[in-house]
Order: sequence, then structure tokens, then C-alpha cells
Amino acid sequence: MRSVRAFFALVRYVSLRHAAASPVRTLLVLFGVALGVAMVVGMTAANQSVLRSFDDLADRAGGKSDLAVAQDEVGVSIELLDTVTARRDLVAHAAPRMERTTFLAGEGGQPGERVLVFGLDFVGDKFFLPFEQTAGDDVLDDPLAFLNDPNAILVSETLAARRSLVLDSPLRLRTSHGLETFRVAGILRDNKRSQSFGGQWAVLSLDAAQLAFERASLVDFIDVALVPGVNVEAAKKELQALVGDRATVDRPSARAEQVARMAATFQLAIQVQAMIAVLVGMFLIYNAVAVSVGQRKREIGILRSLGVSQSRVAAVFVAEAAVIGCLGSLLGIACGKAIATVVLGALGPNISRFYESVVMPEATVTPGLALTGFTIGVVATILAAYWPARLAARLAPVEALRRDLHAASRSRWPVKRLAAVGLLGCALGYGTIFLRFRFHGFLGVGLLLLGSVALLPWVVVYLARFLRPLALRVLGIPGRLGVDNVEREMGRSTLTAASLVLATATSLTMATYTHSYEASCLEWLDQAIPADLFVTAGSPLVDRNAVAYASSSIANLGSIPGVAAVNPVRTISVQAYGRRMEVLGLASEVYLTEVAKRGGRHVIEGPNPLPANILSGDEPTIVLSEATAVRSGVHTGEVFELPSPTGAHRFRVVGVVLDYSSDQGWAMLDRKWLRAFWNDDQVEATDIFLAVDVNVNVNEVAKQVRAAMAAGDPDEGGFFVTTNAALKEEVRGVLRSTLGVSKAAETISLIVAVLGVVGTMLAAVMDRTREIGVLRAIGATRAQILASIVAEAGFLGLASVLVGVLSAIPTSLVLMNAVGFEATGWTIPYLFPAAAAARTVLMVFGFALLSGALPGLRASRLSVTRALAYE
Amino acid sequence: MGEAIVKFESVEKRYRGNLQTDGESGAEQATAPDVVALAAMTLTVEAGSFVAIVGPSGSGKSTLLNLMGALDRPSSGRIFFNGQDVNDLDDDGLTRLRRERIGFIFQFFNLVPTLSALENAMLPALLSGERARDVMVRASAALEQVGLGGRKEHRPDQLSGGEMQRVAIARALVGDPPLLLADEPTGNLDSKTGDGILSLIVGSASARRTVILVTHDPRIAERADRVLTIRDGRLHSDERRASR
Repeated sequence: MRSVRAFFALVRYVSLRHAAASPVRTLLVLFGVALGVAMVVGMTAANQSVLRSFDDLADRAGGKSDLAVAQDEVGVSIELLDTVTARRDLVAHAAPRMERTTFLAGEGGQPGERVLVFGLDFVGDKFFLPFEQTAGDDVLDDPLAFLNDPNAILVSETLAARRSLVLDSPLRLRTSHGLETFRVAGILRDNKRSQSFGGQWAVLSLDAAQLAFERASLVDFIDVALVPGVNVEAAKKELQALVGDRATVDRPSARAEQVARMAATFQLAIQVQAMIAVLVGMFLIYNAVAVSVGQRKREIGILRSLGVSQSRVAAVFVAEAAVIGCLGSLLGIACGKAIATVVLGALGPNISRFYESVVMPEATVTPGLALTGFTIGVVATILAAYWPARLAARLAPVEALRRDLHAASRSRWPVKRLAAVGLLGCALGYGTIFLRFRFHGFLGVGLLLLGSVALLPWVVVYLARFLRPLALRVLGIPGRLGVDNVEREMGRSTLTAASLVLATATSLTMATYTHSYEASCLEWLDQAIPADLFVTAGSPLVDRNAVAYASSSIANLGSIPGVAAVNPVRTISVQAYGRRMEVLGLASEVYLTEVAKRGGRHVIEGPNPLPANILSGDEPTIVLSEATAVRSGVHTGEVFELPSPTGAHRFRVVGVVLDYSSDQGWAMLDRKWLRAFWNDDQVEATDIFLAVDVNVNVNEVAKQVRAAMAAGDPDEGGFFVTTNAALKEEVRGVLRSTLGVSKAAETISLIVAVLGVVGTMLAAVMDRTREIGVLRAIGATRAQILASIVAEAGFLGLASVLVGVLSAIPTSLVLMNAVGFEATGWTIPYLFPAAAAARTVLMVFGFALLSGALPGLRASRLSVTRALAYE
Repeated sequence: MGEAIVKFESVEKRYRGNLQTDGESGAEQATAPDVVALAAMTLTVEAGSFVAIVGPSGSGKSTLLNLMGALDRPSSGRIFFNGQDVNDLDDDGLTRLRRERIGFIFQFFNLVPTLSALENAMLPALLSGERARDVMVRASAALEQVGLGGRKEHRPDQLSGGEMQRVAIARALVGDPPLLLADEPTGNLDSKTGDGILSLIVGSASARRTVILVTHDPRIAERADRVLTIRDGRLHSDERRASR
């Protein structure tokens, strides 16, 4: 009890007084912890929200199915229903289901809200239809009236409330035939299924849905409930054998898992950013505690000589850090939700765009996540404080009490040895490009970053030698003293500089990736999508928000004056070689002719340029994207097998081309094979090539195309007719919003690192109070003191940013050629981001100077007599 | 002896105690009284003299030296330096005065650890914006004068305590200031080294340079022209001698 009382006495009279006496430094650490925790909590909450949106995919059968028979976007033949139900020993219930994400009519030329439309069989097995209607005819008991009207639709209570729908209200909905008007025949009470897609859903009869979305006899799923007691895995195998290569039998949750796997790289990137923020935050904490120990050396000596034990001294420092860690973590958790909301706002639409059409639930910080964030914050703070606290405790009282009469004039760091280790780390890190094992790229990036940090002291020493005369010439003796002091305070400044190096290097590495990718992507857009106009529905891009439309809708486009050629494009997701990929069906001769006219595509394998008739012969042939060729291991001359509702079909690979449209990869083939094997004649995008030899006004043609395509009121957002320039702008927008989150995370890392500079400089000023007093006594003006502190901070920033920029070059090469290539299968040529580099250098250097200004002002205002008396 | 270089007229230096504001009346009440470090001090130091200031700890010796060296301002009264009222000078004026007219020697040497002995000696002149090559000759000569001609390029951590104090003396002398202030310059040195340092300081006093030195050591005080004894912030005695 006495020892507990003694401990709290120490905390009360020593720690709290010290924290109160240095409020700026205490607040710096507090904000460092808060930022780190906020990043972890925010990013994780955003990630959890994304995962919850994927789970929704599994629940769309109302949670009652054990297995689902499906074939990705391709669909399965309704005939398989009989095949499956024939196994009465296994299957208790089976029912077909169609599922389409489409849009309600919008306003002002923009599409309306997204809505999920189910097509369900009301006359077959009703096991999966636990609907309760709040209004309208009872479609379960008397489905005929509903089935006889192909325009009758049931809407969820949520959708009805949102759109003020009542019975018989008209509802304009985009289908494959344009905007069609449906009649609300019933309103469905909210139940488990109604949580799907944020409650924004509607139901058509299966026949009406097949008609509306041109699915002929195809359905998306056959939901299966097994006979009680049947083993799900065994039934899965048996049913799979039964349906053969016409469909895949799997648990409903497999769909969510598959999408989660596809988005895993995406999520990993978010988590890595959060961890970097925590790491930089830990640097800040370590730095602050180490500084605190350094400054209180005499106080420690006094406590030790008064009989305070080593363990208690350490415990006091750790307790101080833990208190700050607790407060910082609580602040971080409070800010976490705001970060999660911003991240989801930026990323959610792109998840729906590229992976699966989902509605993002609101980001929530669960008690579990809050506890995790709190634990990470407190543990990180305690870990960061432990080492300096242990060093403090081990200090001999006499050593601690000694006045530092012989302050070291220069660093005793083994800079050359560290530099050798750093170079070796960098070389090994860069070398991982040539290796191939799991996560080799991440190892490479880690080694390069650590190697750069180890090189830093050497750079500081030699850069100081180079800059000392310059600093003397430009700023006079204050400049010289500033440069000297960075080298002199190496132990303390290296940590701050290291966090600046990490923040600069990661920020610039991501900027290099973004810049190189954007440049390559735009160049590729020129080559691969050279059309002058594009006609799409649901989204201006061919993404998962795009809605397919009937090929008959574009029949008249070729006759519009100025139009030279029309290329209808259709993409269908399939599962091949263990991954989801796209089958890209187009009018191959038109496309390849027009591409050749405009310079041709970047061909990696096969004849260059690709002959116009290479895909249109009688033999089934395909061209693969680089990502598909890399992942499947199938190359030119070999056979690539694709699944379809009519079974698996073999295509000879005639070329491999560079492509950045999707990291899932694709196989390009002529539309005739889509019609023959997939029974699909729909269109997702129509490329329109204008005549090149006559003067044609793109906007005028676009207007005529829009008029030709408008099935209803064009203001309802029926079709997008996008010019080439607008498409590129749209792509740039998608790139910016996708990469914006990681940019924000890097900026936070930079801010945390800069806060470290403020902390370091404040500590330096306190440490050198007497020295500053002497300088003032022998004639240094306030401005000269300020200049020397600002010069010191500036030199610290300059050395760090120099190492950071140099480190970013090999790190981005590893990121692009190892991490990026593994995740996407894309080769991206390196392009140095000169503008981003200049921006980062100016920002870090500028912030470093600014962060020197506050402690500098404080130093310049010190009372000379008090400074001279400072111990 | 020449004209007055430093003149104090009823100088008082007071440090404020703690005040507490009464919650109801708003009136301030002192919880700790003001500390009077120096009270009604009136004295004149003539140019070219060697003055020792003695007195027990806490008597106000260092406060007096700080005021003489324009490191601090009086709470009341007037201080004249060569006839110039120090109260009329702003911070820049005081800084210029210190840089150009006063040399300081401290008990703990207070050299800049990253600079060599030569650079430390050059520092005040460099701070005033003089060109390095112009100052170097004078600083070298000052180091020669204090017997450190062979150690100019050494940094403070490569020098002994006595050598560091010699560099501090060279730094104080390099601008050839008319006033040299020393606060316990031998307090941190052994007696033999201290004697050498003291000889250098005494030797630097001349018709053109006044030396004022704070010390506890009666042997040092014996070598001064004038001994000012301070007790409780007041001038207890002012003893003039014909020594040196």
C-alpha cells in the first residue's frame, strides 16, 4: 500500500507537473497518438463496412438456401432447375432467381437511384418467398393477376417510402430496352431480405424480368435448400457433377467471399496506410518520451539519489506515456468515424463500379473496434515509451546529476557502418523485383524503406559538410550553427528525420505509382479505346454499374451522317482458371480496323499490328489481356477454355495485349461467339467512329446519337453519349477518387512527421537554453537566434526529404514491378512524378521551416538572465 | 582612473511574488511577497578599474553583474553606460551594447560545442556581421595571448576545463571591449589552473578596459582595486585599494 501511495505521489508531483509545464509537447504527443488511432479505427471501420456490403450478397436469397447454382454473370439455363430438383434425395426445395442492378428514371440527364430488381418464380416452389404484403393483391395466394401483367412490380416498403409510391403508382425503370414504365402492384413489408441493397429493391415475376433484361431462358441463380440432415459439402459435389461445366454449385456465402478476395488488395492498401500512420505516430511518441527523459536527467538523478528505485523510475515514465496514450486513443476513436465516412464516400462508389454493385452501409465504430483502437493506441504508446524509460531508470544517480560540461560537439554514431547496412538493405530490397515468392514485393518495399532510414545519418553528416559554408554565406553564423546542431543532436533528430523520410518516401512512391499509372492508362485509352463517341447506359464507363441494352437499340446509328463505323461491345463476367474475368465480345473487324487506323494497340505477344480478321474466322480465337495471360499462364498459340451456358468452349490465343481496364483481366472475341455460345446479343457500350476524311462536328453527331437512342424522355438519364475527351476526364476522376484516400493517409503521415519536427525543435530549444542565453549575452540578436533554430529545422527537413525522394525511386520500381504486378498483372512503365516530387519537397521543407519557427520564437524570447541560470 | 563607465542611480531589482485573485471581490492578494534582489543601489565604476564584487550566496552579486552587463533591466532607478541611459535602449540596442562594448566570462565556460576554439573566439564578431577572414586574425591573436595558439582547431570536448576558460577569455577579448565581466571565472577550476586564469583576467585590465569580477574567493578580491561587498541586495561596503 505504501509503495502504491509512493508511486502515485511520484506521478502527482513529478509527472503531472512536468506535463503541465510543457503543454505544447504534451499536446503534440497526444495528437500524434490520436491521429494514429483515428487512422486505424477509421480505415478498419471503412473496411468492415465494405465487407458488410459484400455479406449482403449472400443474404439475397432470404438466408434460406444452402447452395446456389450459378455461373457468374453468364447465368444458367432454367433447364437446370429440373436437373437439380430430380435429386429428391438431396434437394428439398429449388427455385430460380434473377438479379439485376439497374436505375430508376433520373432527372436532368442524370440516372436516378440504383435499385436491385429480383425476378422470382411465383408459380413454382414458394419456399424462398416469405413475402408479406402491406398493400395490393396477394401475389402468393393469387399470382395470376400479377403474372398476367408484365409491367406489374412489387416494391419494398423502404423504396415506396423514399419515392412516395402507392398502389398503381407508375415507376420508370431502366431495362435492356431503355426506360420502361412499371405499375406498383404491391408493397412488401420489410424483412431480412429487405435489408439487401439498403432496402432499395423491387420484384418482378421471373418471366417479366427475363423479358425486361433480355435473358431469354437464362436465370442468375437456382437457390437450393437441402433435405434436412444432408451434408452440404457432399451435396455440393454431387450436384456439381450433375450440372457439369454448365454451372458452378457453391454455398451462397462463396459469392461474398469471392468479391472480398478480389477487393483484398484494395483493402490491404488501406490497412497498410493506416499502419504507416501508426508507425509514424509511434516514432513521435518515442521521440517525445526520449526527449522528456533527456531533459529530466537531473531530475531522475535527484529522484534516484533520494531512494527511488530503477523500476519505479521506469514505471513513472511508462505511466506518463500510458495516460497520454489513453487520452490520445479516446480522441482518435472519436475522430475515427469521421475518417471512415470520408473513406467510404471516396471508395464506396468505386467498389460498386469495379467489383460488385453493392450499397455501402453507414460506417460504424463498433465497441469491439473502439476497444481494438484503444488497445493499439495505449500499447503503442507504452512500447514507444518503454525503451527510453528503461534507459532513464538505468542511469547512475551521479551520472544523471552531473552538469554536462563537455557536451559532445559531434555525433558518435557509426555513420559509415550504418550507411553500409543501409546500402545493403536497399540493394536487397531492390533485388526482390527479380524474385518470385509470396509478398516478395512487400518485403522489398520494407527493406528499401529501412535501408534508407539507416543511410540517413551518413547523409546528414556529409550534407552538413557540403551545406555548412553555404549556410554561413547566406544566413551568417546562425545558419552555420543550425546545420551544426542537426549533426550534433543526431540521436534525437534521426528519429524525427526517419519519420519524415518514411512519410516522404511512401507519399512519393504512391505518387509515382499514380502518375505512372495515370500516364500509361491515358496512353492506353488512346490506343485501346480510340472511338470518338461511346453510348452506355447506367454509367458513362463500362463498369458494374453499366446496364446492358438490346443490340436492336443501336440499329440506326450507322446511318447518322458523319458516322463511319459502329462497334457494339458486351462484357460478361465468367469464372476461368480459378478467377473471375471478363469476356469482351465486339465487332472485331470494325474494332481492329479502326484501332489500326489510329496507330494500333500495344501488342505484347502475337502479330503486330493485329490483323483485322484475326478474330472473325471460323475457328474460335481470342486475344488476352496481359493480366489474364500472366495469371492463367496461357500464351499465344495455346488453347484457352471459357465456360458458357452451353458448356466449356476452347479458343486459340492469337495475341496478348497491354491493358489497364481491369485487374481481373479479359479475353477479347468476336460477338458471333457470344451469340453462339452465351446466347447473348446485348450491348454494354457502343463505340462510334466518325469519318476521318470529312469535317465532322463531334458534338453535333453526339446530339443526333442521343436523339436516336432516347427511348423515353432523354432528361431521365436513359443513355450516356460520351465524347472521347469526356471519357478520359471520367477515367481521371475515377483514378483520383480511388487514389485520393491513400493520398489523404499519406498527408496525415506527413503531418504526424512534421509534428515530430516541432517536438524535436522544442526539446532542442529547452536543452540548449543556456547556450542560447550565452549567445544572447555575447551579442546574438533575437532574429539571429530565431534564424539558427529555423535553419536547424530546415536542414533536418532538407536532409530527410532528400533521402525520402531518393528512396522513393527504387521503392516505386519495386511497388510497380513486384507488388503492383502481383496484384494486377499490369506492366506499368516508370515515370518520375516531377510535379509531385517538387510539391513534396517544398511541402516538407516548408513545413520543417515553419515547425522551427514556433520553438525559434520561443528561444528568441527567452530572458537572457534566466536562460543563463537554466540547468 | 578615468571617467565613469557604469553608473547606478537608486537601482532596484525586484522579482514579483505570487498573486491570487479573490473570487468574490476580484481583488488581488499576495500569497508570496516580492523578492527584492537589489535595493537602492547607487554606485559608479570608473573606466580602467578592476572591481571585485563579493558577498554570500543570494546576496545579489549576480543580479548586480547582470544589470551592469545589460543582460537585465532594473525594476526602478537608472543605469548609465558611458553616459548613455540603458533604460532608453530597446532589446536590439541592449544586444548591440553587449556585443560591441562588453565581454563576458562565465563560470561554466559556455562554449558552443560544435565550433572550434578559433570559431568560438570569433563568434561575437561574426554575430555582428564582420567577415570571417577579417576576424580570424584578431581571434588568433587573442588565442595566442591566452596561450592556446596551438589548439585553435580543437573543439570544446577536446580541451580541458582550464583551456575552455582560456577560449572563453579570448572570446571576451576579441572585440576589445571597454568592459569585461566575469562571474566566478575560477569557480569550476582547480586552484592552480584558477590562478593562471585569474592572471589572464587581471592582466587584461588596463587604462582602456574595466574588469568587474564576481567571486567568493578572498584571495582574488585582494588583487582588485576596489571591492564591493553586497549583503541582502544592498551595498554593504565599498573598499578602494591601491593594489595590482
